[in-house]
Amino acid sequence: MAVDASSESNKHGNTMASYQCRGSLATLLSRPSPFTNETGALPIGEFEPSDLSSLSKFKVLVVGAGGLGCEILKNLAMSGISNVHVIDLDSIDITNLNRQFLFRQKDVGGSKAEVAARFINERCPWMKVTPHHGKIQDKDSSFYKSFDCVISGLDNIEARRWLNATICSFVEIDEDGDPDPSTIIPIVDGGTEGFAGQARVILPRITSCFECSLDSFPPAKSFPLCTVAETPRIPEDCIAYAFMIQWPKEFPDKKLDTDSPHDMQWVYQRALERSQKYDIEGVTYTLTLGVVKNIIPAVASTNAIVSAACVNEAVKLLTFASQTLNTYMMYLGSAGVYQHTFVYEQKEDCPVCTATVRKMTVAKSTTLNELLQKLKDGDLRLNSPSATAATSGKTLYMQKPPFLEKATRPNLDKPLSELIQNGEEVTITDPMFPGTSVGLSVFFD
Amino acid sequence: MATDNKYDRQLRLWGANGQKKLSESCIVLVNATAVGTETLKNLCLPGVGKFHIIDDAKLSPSTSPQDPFSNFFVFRDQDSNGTPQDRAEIATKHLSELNPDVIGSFTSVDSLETADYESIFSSLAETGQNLLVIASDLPPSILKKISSICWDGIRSKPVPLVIVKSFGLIGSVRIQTPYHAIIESKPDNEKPDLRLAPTSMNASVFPELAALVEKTNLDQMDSKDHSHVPYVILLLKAMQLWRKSNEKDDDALPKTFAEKEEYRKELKSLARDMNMELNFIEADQNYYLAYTDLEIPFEVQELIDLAQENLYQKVEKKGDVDMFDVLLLALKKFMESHDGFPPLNGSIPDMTASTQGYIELQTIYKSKAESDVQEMKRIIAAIGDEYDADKTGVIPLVSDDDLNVFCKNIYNLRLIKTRSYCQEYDFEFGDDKDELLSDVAMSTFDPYDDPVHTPILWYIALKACDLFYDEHGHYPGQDDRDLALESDAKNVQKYIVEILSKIGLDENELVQSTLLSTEEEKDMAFAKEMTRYNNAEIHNIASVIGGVASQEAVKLITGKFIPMDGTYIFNGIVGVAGVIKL
Ligand SMILES: [Zn+2]
Repeated sequence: MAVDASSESNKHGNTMASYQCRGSLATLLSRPSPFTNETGALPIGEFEPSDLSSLSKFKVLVVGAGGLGCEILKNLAMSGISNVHVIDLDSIDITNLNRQFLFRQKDVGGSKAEVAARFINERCPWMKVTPHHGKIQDKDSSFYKSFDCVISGLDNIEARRWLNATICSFVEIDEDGDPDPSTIIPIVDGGTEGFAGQARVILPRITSCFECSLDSFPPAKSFPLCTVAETPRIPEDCIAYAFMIQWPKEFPDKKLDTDSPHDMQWVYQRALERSQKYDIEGVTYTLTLGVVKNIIPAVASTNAIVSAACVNEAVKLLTFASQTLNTYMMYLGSAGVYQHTFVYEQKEDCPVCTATVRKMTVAKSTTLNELLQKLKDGDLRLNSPSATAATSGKTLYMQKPPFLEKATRPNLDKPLSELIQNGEEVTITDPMFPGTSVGLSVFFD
Repeated sequence: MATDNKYDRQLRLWGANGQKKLSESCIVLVNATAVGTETLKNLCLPGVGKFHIIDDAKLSPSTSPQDPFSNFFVFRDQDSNGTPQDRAEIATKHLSELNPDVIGSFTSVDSLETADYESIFSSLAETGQNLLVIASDLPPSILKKISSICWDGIRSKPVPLVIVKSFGLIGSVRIQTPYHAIIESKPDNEKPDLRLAPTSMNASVFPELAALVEKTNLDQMDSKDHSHVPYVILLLKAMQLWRKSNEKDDDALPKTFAEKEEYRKELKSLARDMNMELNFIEADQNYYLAYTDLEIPFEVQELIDLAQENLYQKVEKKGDVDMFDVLLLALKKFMESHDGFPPLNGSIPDMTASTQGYIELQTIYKSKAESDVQEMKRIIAAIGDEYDADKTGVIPLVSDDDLNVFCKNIYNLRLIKTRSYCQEYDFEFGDDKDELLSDVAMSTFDPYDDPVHTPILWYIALKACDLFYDEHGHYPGQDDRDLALESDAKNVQKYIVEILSKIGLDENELVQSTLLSTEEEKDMAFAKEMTRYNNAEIHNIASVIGGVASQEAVKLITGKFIPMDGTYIFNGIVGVAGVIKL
């Protein structure tokens, strides 16, 4: 028998009041239950009661060492999962300190991944957190394949798409069309905004993936240029004018550094002048920062909720000690508490987790360049797509390497009807979807 | 870095005055278990003024740094030379490190059962800080004591209480506050208060706005000006046209569907190009605003209706009159003399317009709002004279800032009066019994996908464990042996049945097929699972609960956003939660 709960409590002294004598994670792992993994809606393994030492064999990747990442690292430490890697590109800013609790004033400017790892390793001697200060895109697939579970606490959509596509591309499909379970690495993904947040479980090729839900993350709000330039009405219009029009005009060779107080003061002053000219009230330095940097409010409490919900799922997915979140939990905390947990359905033609060939009808005269532009602006929201004719294998356009780009560039201005047959499948690749391609049948009308 | 304010990201939510309220608060944590320290962590980081931990646990010399796996802020310092350490002291030390702005202190007591909470709370209140108590992982006997003290108040001022619990994969948060007024509830989508429809007998669009409409001559405009007339003006222009062509009175509004369609046609007829003129497209999207005014929500109306009686009673009883009470009565009086309209909030949404046209419109709304505020000020002064003729100070002063914020938020006002923990624990009901029990029954009609995870069921299972504790002096599952576990589970099931009959759910369909099911797989599944836990402290559950609790605490302290009214129950088996009001 693994853990005797009463002796557990005795370690804390014999005088402990009875409400202080209680079980622990060890108790949970050592006892049978009517609610183990295999009894739930997303069964992936069978629970065998064991002890805490069973946790040492898992290797977990934490993506992001910010508001969610700090919490996630602490939660893993408090769950006895000792072999952890953390990756983050960012450095510590003073505005992180209201929630990223592994950082102190003295750490400002340091690498988030490194400072967070050091803090956890010192505070929790059983932990071995390995930091990676850099871009997630710079790690190769063997790095990602070495983990049993990936927990993502990222604040930007593009990085989440890339990570999701990378992990999803590892799944091998057998002859019957079923995914090979040993190639599935669960992703637990969290996100917050103010008092709201969400946590979700992605079992690649079994549940929906991040890309399936891309529509629920609309692209950032943009400012209509003609209003900004000609008929400003609200303070935001004046700020947008200052940083979108005045800055490039004044400093054509210098990119606005949104972290520089000097640059931001300049933008604020111009915005203020413009607002005074038009009698518009409400331009402040705080608002200027908010508009230019597209700042999303962030608080400790929401990060705690989402991170703990994520790590709770990770522990259950690894140990099979309980059932699994199916698949999406949404938390809204500004008007009472409203929590909604539901199955986020797989998107029928998800470019990442389905093999669906999309159909597209275009005019015969549409050029390859126009087609690629449509893929960027349309619901696929691609970044820099390349195209190959699927049956002939003919390269239509390649973004990289430079010599291939140069060789295929002349195709861009050719009408598609010169390049492919009506209804022919074109294979689209994009750095956004590493290891995956999207099939596209192009019809002419 | 572009700012040196470490609170920047949260100030964008609750503003400088919310931050000030936080810095004036003192959080008292009773029992520094993981769920308690996690809650406190999320309050130290955003900068509460002070915290104070009351605890009775000690870490014995044999405890190694690894031992307390589940509490991030409680571990033995390596240099402590083997002397026992008070958990209160250790937790205070490590929580204080989170934020130099926060002052932490503690009281180590012999036993939380016998601690004199009233005197500890009273002495903390002497510093002038606003108290909020977090009761963490406590059994009912202690909770009842703390609940009563907080409910009755320290120096006649009720203390908000947040009760948190982590129990295996289940956790809960319960709020207790006898009176919590919210002026800035900050709804996500605020509807504009444009006052375009004179809905009552003698009211008409206010004169300044009417004059602006009169002044606007659509026919003589060039195409640029024409496509930049704010839609507010277009809606009123179209209304004049509709009245004229239908020979209606000056205050007539389209009522039937056909009339509304006619109105919409008139509106479109004013456009030169309905596809190109953005202002007309916006007008058409908002056409209903021309004949529907913003309605006072029933929650707010209820407060207004009770305002007079409420204030009168409080003054009579020499009770604590809240600024909110005075403002509500002033609002009532204002509306009585303005055909039921509250003070105008004075802000208009962004809309297609020339800069000048927009500013002109904005100024009209703003100055109307300002004059309404001035009138509110006169009414408040009169209330002071009426209810506090001797100037004893029973009617609190209302600052200009407070009045302005109030007038901007008339439609968002809320008042929360929760039931007390004791009432909940003892199933003590008043007039609200039928309503509460029918709400509870309702929650079973909308089960979760997998019905067994419907939140109310886990609320009952968790409560059964408290009843178990009351009788046995420990939580179920303490003894690891199979027979003991089985016997504990049977007892938990007995309490489940007891609770079900008390809240009238014993015949309930969902309950029959889950909690009371005797099918092999489901038989006593809840009781067995709760027994499995032995009240286990699982860090992730403690941390979810600490997050929810601290978010609610911030709402209670700042007076912004709307706290929940009831018990939040988190089911970590599948990540499902709900709020149960009992
Ligand atoms: Zn997908």
